[in-house]
Amino acid sequence: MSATKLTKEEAAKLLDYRRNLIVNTVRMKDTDRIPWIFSDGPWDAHDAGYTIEQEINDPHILLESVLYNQREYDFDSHMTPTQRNPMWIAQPFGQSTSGYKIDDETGMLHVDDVAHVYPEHYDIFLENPTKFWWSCFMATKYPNLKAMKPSDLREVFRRQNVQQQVHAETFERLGNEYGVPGLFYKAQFASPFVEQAFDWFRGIKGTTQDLHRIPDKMEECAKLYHEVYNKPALEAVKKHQLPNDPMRTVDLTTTMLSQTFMNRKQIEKYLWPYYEEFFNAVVEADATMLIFSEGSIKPYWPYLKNIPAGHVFIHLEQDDIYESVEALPNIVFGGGMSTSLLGRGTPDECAARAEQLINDLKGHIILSEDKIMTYPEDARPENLKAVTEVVHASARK
Amino acid sequence: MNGGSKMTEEELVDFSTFPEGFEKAKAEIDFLDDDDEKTGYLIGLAMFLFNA
Repeated sequence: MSATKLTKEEAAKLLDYRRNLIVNTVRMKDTDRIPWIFSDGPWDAHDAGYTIEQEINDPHILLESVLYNQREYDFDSHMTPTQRNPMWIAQPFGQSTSGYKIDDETGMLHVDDVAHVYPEHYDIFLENPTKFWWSCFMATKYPNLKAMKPSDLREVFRRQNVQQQVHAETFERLGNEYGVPGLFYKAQFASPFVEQAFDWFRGIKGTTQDLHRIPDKMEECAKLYHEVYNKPALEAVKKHQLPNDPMRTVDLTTTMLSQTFMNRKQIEKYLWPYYEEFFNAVVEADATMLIFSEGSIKPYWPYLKNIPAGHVFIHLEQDDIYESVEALPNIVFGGGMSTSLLGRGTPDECAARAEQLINDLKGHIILSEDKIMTYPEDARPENLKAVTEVVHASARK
Repeated sequence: MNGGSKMTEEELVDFSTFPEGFEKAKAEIDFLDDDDEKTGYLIGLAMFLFNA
């Protein structure tokens, strides 16, 4: 199916079409067809003929893999075309405490549940967040920081800058050569503190222990984190200060991940109040929001049903998309195509599933995979192409 | 005569402390001028390396 090369004018026209398609779908307005977006992950490297090791260690290989995928499958957008593990940047820091294990031979991709900060560090966060990130998080994660050659630190900076340049080039080429807008691209990001703690610096075990042992301290940190990092993002949304960029499709982004290990009372205390502020800011500004979720988001259903329609798009992982649309007709959901079907089904079966979803749920969904595409078995190329054909054929003539 | 000047061993620096080590790290950023931008760059780097 490889997409034919577009002229600059054709790419600009297609970019405008696809951006409107995504924006109007999130707004729950009538559209030609449903959008079809790719939940990027290391699968793209396998598909383009590289290994995960190669992709992680060379941002140019990631760029080539993403563009190869776009040529092959003609997606309307990519969830995370530039987000891969940045361990290449950190290598000059020496061994980190992350515990990643990647083995392309056996197809293993593993990360330990590690804490990079400890409960005693929360007081430092409350005293000075910058000090916390540097002398607690970075110094614990990279022990070599205590005795390091300045040239190694400068090499980290050089790699970081190369990566940023390649990321910028990725979006520029997706837009200018393939007419593909971004999703997280140039949107504001906000997140509850506990979500960040579990995902990035305390781990699941550490965060769970902290919520039980030092709940007041966690609440204090959550409030400060919200003031320092979320409030400016929400203000930018409320004041419509986001860049007027033809590639940008949504205004605010967040994740919903930590509900998977928290009980209802903890969600009510540490998560929902912050999400509620995010939603309020988006609705107040008549803006839009993209949420990337993992696991089930059913614990949020009672709250989500009160959000006005036309503002929120949630990319699902575990929840059934039919059940989700029925429960929350005010939300647009991403997903519907499982990796089990894309990886083990036939092109006809995948096409039939896509057709059924389009017929049943158009106006309420954005077609996508239900996982970050990681392993070679997550999709057969001919199955993705079959879905693209169905989606394109469904466009109103 | 074979040889030449002996390579000078680079001195190891403790970058881990705050504010001393943090200031030393900022001093190594030669592609930004503004002090606040350098602070933002280092904190942005720390957050970028969350999952590294």
